[in-house]
Amino acid sequence: MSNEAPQRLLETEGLGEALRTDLQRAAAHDVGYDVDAGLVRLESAMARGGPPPSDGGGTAAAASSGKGLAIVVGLALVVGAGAIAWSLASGQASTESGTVAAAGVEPALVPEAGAELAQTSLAAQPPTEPGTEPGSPSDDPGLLIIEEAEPEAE
Amino acid sequence: MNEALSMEPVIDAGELFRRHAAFVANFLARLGVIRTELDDVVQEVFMVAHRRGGFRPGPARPTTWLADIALKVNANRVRKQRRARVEARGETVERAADERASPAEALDHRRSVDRVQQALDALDDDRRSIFILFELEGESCESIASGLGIPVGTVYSRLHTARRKFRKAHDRLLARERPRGPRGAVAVVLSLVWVGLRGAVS
Repeated sequence: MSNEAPQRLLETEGLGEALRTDLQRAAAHDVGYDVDAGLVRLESAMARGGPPPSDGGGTAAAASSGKGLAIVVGLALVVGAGAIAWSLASGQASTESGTVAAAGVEPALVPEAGAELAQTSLAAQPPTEPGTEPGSPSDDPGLLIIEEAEPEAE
Repeated sequence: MNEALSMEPVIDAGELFRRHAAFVANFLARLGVIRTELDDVVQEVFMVAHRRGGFRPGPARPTTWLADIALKVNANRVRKQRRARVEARGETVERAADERASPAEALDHRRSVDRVQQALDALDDDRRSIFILFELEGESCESIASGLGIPVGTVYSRLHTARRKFRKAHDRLLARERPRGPRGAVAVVLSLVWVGLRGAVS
């Protein structure tokens, strides 16, 4: 096929008479659209800033706005799911790190801190319960976290 | 050339409508939009043109630019209403039949337009729109290419295929309508009587 601009069928010699007649009539055919009435409707729709009122089926605008809404909802779901997953993961991580800290820190730091605190606070306040030893974790606010974390470490 | 084009003012949707609403309506009818939906679709096309800020002069003509919008708007509608194109046949040609001087002429004219419409139905939307714009609306291939946003070579190629399919479908329709003996003659006479009666009633 050549790249030259083609000639219209109606201008082509040797075209069948029936086809020529049909094409001529179809080319001259007008559906009789009422331009004045249509213009009034269009101007009113443009003034409202929205699509023209229609009793017909769905419109391209409706389709595109529906698609946009679907995208927004989809994004919101993804972001929401991500946030929930992140908060769950970080919550678990903090628990785990607390456990690790408790397990690792307790032998090194707690006795010293506990000992100091025990010396300052427990010296003034003797134990209220007979079974409680001075300086035991349950009485020492500084060791409260470690006390809670201990069962997990086991 | 391009600088000169860019200096031309933008044509707003209202002005486009005044100049080209009839073109868009005819184009949509040839694409198969039925008469009862035609006004809605025409309105929608020009609302899209309005949202795009009107027509900016460029390589495309306003008609081919609007034709591109019309194609997309119609494709969206057809996707939702598959029946629309099936019902189109016969409705878009009424006006032509009503304006003929004699019933015989009216029938003949109506059949011509109907045959073309049915032959167009044999084409897919891409080839159909190019055939309509080039063969019936007299647009140039360059303007069609710019308006539809495709290379000129693609327009040539689609036009070539469209013509082949159109002519084949048209030939088939002619062969089917050819009167066959006395029964065919009776059918023609009855058709003429029917058209005459319709004219008398209206």
